[in-house]
Amino acid sequence: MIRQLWAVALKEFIDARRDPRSIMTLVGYSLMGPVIMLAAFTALVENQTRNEKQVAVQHLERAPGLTAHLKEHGFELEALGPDVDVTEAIADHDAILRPADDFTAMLRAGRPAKVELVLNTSKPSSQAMARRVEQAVNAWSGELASLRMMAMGVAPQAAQPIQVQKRDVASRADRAALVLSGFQVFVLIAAFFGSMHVCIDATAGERERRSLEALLVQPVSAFGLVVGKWLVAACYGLFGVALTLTAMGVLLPMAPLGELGISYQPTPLSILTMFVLIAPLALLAAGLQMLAASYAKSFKEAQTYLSLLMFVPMVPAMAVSFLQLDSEPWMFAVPVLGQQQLLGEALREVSPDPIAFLTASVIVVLAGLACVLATTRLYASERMLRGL
Amino acid sequence: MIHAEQLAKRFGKVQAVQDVSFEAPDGAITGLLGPNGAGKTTAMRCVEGLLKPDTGHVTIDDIRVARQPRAARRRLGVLPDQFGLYSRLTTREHLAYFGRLHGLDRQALNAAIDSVVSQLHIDDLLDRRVEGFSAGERMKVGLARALLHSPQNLVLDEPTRGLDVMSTRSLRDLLRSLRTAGRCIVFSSHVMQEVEELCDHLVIVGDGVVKAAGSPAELCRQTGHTRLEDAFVQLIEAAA
Repeated sequence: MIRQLWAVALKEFIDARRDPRSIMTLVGYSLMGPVIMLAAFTALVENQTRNEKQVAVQHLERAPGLTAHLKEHGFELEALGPDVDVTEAIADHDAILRPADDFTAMLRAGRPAKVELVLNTSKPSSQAMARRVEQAVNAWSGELASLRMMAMGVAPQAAQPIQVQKRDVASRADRAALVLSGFQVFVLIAAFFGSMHVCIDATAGERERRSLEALLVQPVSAFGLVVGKWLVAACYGLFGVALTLTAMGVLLPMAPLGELGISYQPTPLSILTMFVLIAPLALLAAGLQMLAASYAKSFKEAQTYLSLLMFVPMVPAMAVSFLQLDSEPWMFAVPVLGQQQLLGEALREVSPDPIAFLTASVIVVLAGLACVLATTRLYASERMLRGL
Repeated sequence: MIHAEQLAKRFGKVQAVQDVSFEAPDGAITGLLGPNGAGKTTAMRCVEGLLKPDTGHVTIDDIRVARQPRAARRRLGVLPDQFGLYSRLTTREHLAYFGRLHGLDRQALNAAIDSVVSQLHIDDLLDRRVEGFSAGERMKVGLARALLHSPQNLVLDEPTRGLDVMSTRSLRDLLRSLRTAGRCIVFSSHVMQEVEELCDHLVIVGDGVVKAAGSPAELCRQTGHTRLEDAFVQLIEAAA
């Protein structure tokens, strides 16, 4: 049986290698994640470090003190005509200030002088700019308050009984792990995408091309056939993971992560560690996809099944990620989620716990074997011939 | 030698095969003849061990197929409908794959490949990918695969479908030479001329039962017709 198993594996390997679509899905999806991450980081940093200070002001003449203060703090002011509708003008400006007509009078009277800050919170650039303007206005307001209190003979500190001092204890690696957590999903998905096409081609594809019957009349055990196909598909899953991790190792250092206050320098060893942590998942991904594709009568039908199926194992990992749950021991026992947790630890540069790794790995390998046995039963049954 | 005894097979509400028995001796070509949906394919799949008959049994060289499917299949070569090839593999890779599935080691495999290649004259196809082969070339590759492990018994499902005259002729010549070599050959068809020219023995199947059996000449005599086609139609319709 071992010889037959290798015969099947060798044939499927040659067959898949010559199929441009297998290679395309493998390479395409593997590189997609790291490339998206690089682009996203670059854009994010560009946005955050852009330090333009521009604000449009309507009725500039109503608040000479305020405008002088803003100019002093590096703001470029643009005067808006009195007839301009600010709700329309905000489309062209990130923030608009509009002092009330009694601004100076109220200020003199020592009562709250009102200034309207127009912004559009659905535009990130508007939100950021308005925040800077507000800070500048508040700073000026604080200065005025201090001056008034001194004039009344009160120490300005009296208005500030408590001062909060923030001390961030997150290490640069912790912050990096948080920022890079989006990357985990791409690595997990690579295990599935890498083997998807091969799984379909070796099962539903074989049925569609009518070579299945010729194969089933050979003196072979269904188990040997299925395991041979499974191993090749799992190899493709591993290629997918390896390619994604390598691309990350090459591309992420190009991203301006330092600007975000995080440092992440993947080393060949850390990449290899992550590969080892994720590798067992490829066996489950291949087994599960092969089982589903074996039920399909055609390539297209299998594609439909698998594109839906793909997200099922991702659900626990995504849920934990969205709900921002803290890592718990039970999570290592849930397939895919366990791998995600291991990957998270590796990204935080925590050395992996061997027990957690063993638990997570044994569980996914067993689940993969269960899928293989179910597929074997299907291959040994008459159901397989239906529609042929 | 293939022997089928009172085969019956039902799929849900459809009784695909009701009662099919036949004997295909060595050194003869036996034709399974019947209209579409008569149960030919189901009967053939029972012979190949892909389906387990509800009742009855098949033996290949006295091996019960349902009990020892792998032992039986080692003595069986199959040319399936549409040949079932892998378009991205070369002819040699096909032969190597199926030879290994039959457990041939490297030396035996190379000898077997040389033997079928010279038998079928496919030297020029050997290292080309099957993609782009004509129907005749595909048939030859499929047949080479079926003959690779030199099975005593050969089963062909509508082998001449889609073949041109030259390919059909070469297939016919090959089957005759295999018969001379003492092999047992069973093939299903619904092409009368084909069957008439090749078969020593005919089994007429209709509605899942054997309507008649005998040599083409015997069937004509039995029905009083001179053409096999007329005899066939009468046999199928008489019992319907």
